[in-house]
Amino acid sequence: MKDEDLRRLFKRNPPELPVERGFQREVWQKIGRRNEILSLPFLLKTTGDFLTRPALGIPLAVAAVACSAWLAVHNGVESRNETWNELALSYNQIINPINHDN
Amino acid sequence: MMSKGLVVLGVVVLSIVTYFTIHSVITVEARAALSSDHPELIWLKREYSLNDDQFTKIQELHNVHDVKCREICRELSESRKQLEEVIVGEPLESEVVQGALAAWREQQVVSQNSILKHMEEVSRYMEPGQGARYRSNVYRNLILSGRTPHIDSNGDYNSEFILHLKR
Repeated sequence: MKDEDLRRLFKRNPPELPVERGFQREVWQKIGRRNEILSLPFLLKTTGDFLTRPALGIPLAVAAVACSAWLAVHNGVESRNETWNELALSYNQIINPINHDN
Repeated sequence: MMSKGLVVLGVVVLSIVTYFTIHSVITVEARAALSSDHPELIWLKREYSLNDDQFTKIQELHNVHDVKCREICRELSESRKQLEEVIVGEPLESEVVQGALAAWREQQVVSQNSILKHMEEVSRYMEPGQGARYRSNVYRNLILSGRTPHIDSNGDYNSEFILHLKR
């Protein structure tokens, strides 16, 4: 249902209970904020807000780079060891005629 | 808004550059080995800390062994085929099966002896400690190869111990 249809529905069927002044406006603002939270510009803005505050931004940026460095060391060492282990097996195979035969 | 977006982008780019730089530095040696003509020999050089002279000698030995290895492989393949042909249709005690089995076993011995000889020659060009380690590696992986399911991690027989196949 479009926003305009909802407004018309509210006008045709006024609430029976007394509603505080500005109630409808608050509801629409809440709906608007909820949609905004899920958008990329909002996420960028919020992250940007954090990062541009030196007290939060510098530790956050350092943490992001440190996580990335830790991940690189972990994956790099794993990948390097895997390569050397494969080459160790491969060496044993190439000097063994029985393995040539298989 | 624009400058905040740039700050976020800057941190993301810095993190990505950090990741790839560190990963690349750690794996550079292994990647270089893989792109060489004989990656296994590059592994050997690194694993047993060979200097250039030792490596050149061992490379020559390896090339000689490789020719012998292929010849033994061809003979092994022939003896295995002959054995396969007769073992399914003839009685085990028959002369033809016994002959094929003997020929196949002989080729196995020739193969093991060639590995032992190569092991001995290669290890002679290594530092004594590295040579012993190389012999141990070849002996454990090529001479004693095969499953010994009741030998525990200390190398002792243990009837309670069962080594299961790893998948």
